[in-house]
Amino acid sequence: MYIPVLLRPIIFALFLILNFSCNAVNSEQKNLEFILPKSFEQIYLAKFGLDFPKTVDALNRCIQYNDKQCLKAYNEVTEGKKTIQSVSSSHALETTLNIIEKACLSKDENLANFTCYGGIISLYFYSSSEQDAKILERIKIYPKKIKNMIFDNEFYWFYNRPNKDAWINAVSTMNVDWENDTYKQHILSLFRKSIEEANGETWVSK
Amino acid sequence: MENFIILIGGPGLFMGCDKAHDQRWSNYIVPLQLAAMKDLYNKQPKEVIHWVLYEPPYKKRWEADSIITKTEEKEDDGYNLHSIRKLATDKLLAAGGTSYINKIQTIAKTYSIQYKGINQPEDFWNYLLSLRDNSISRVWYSGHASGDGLMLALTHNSTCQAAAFPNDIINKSDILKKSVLVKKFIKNPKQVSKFYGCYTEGFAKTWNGVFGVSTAGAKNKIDFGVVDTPSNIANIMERIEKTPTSLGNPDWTEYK
Repeated sequence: MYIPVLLRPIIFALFLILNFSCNAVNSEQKNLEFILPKSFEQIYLAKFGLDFPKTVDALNRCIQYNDKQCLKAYNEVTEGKKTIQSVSSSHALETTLNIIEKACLSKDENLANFTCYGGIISLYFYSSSEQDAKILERIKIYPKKIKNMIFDNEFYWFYNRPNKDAWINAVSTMNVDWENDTYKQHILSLFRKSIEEANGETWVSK
Repeated sequence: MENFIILIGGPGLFMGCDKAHDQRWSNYIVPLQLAAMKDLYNKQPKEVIHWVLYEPPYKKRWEADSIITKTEEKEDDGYNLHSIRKLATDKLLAAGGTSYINKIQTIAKTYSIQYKGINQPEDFWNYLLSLRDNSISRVWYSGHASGDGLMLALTHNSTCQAAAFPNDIINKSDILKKSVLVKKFIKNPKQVSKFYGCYTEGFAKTWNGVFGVSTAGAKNKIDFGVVDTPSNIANIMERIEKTPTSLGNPDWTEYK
C-alpha cells in the first residue's frame, strides 16, 4: 500500500501515541496489581486486626493513652485507605474484583486471608451507581465459595450501597449457605441501613 | 447435671517483633487453672466444668517452640526470643508433659474438668448442640477477642500487626445463626456467662439477647497478665475484670 510521503510522519506519530498510551495502560495495570494487595493487607486490620480501634471511642482512648499498638494499627489502616482512595477508579475496581476472585480461591494462606478479605473490605470505597452495579454483577457470577465468604461476615460496604433494593433483591435469592433465616434477614437488614448507622467505624468515618 | 462450658482460645506464635502479645503460651490457661485451684468458679453442686480448647494454635506454638529450643541455643535475634521459649518447654518437659495440649489436659484432669479439644470454631457450636436440652448453666471464654468476635487464634501480617484469620473467629453475628441452641440453656440461670477477651461487651450483649441468659464482657481492653501483678483483688477473674490496662478501665459490663 502506497502512503504519501507527507502522511508518513503523521502516521508514525499516531503509532507512537497509541503505543505509548497502551504501554501506559499496561503500566498502570501492573502498578495497581502491585499497590492494591499491599493496601488490602493494611485495611484487613480494620475488621480482623486485634489492636485496631473499631469505634471512635476506642480511637479516642488510643490517642488519650498513647497506646502504641493501637495507634500503629490505626495508622496502617489509614495508609491503606488513602492509597486505595488515591487510585479509586473503574479500572481499580475491575482489578480489585479480579484480585478478590483469584485470592479468595487461593491455597496460599496470606492471599486467601489478607488479600482476599482486605479486597472485599475495600469495596466500601466504590459507591457510585456505576461501580455499585459492577460489583453486584460480578458477585452474582463469583463461585459459591466466595459468595459464602462475603455474606458470612458483616462488611461496612453493605451499608453504603446506592441501589439498596437491587442488593436486597439479588442477595435474598443468591445461592448462599445462610444456615438459618434469622442470619439471612440480619445481613439483608444491613443493606437497608445507612452508613450513619455504622456505629462509629473509625476507618470509614475519619 | 448442669454444664458449665469454658471455651479457651489460643496464643499466636512467639514473635520477637510483637512484645505486646503472647510472650507466654499459657496466657489463657493460667487464670483458669488458678480459678480451679482456688475454687473461684463458684461451682454449683450440680455443675460439671468443661474446658473446650481450640487446639490448632497450641499445636503450632508447641511445634515452633520445641523445635527452636532443640535446634538453637543462643539468642541471635536481639529479641530475647529463645530463652523464653526454652524456659517454657523445658519446664513442661521436666514436669513430665509432652506438649502444651498434653499439659492442659493434665491440668483439666487434676481438677476433674472435662476436656474437649476442637479444631474449628464450628466444633464449639456442635459441642453445645451435643449437650442435653436445658443443661447449660453458663459459658465462659478466655482468649483474644475484638469488637467483631472471639479470636480463637492469632496471626501476624508482614508488618508484625496482630490479627486473626476469619476461619479462627467466632463472629458476634454467628450467635444469630445458632439461635436454635437456646433450648440447651437453663432458663434464668443464677450464674453469669462471661467472655474474658478485649472488647467482648457486644458479643456478651448479643449472647444475652439470643439465648436469654445473663452475660458479661469488657467494653475495653483487658489484660490477662494481671494474674502476676500485685493487687488488692484476690480473685484472679475479678482482677482481670477490674484492673486498668494500657487503655484505661476495662469497663466490665453485665447484661441481665
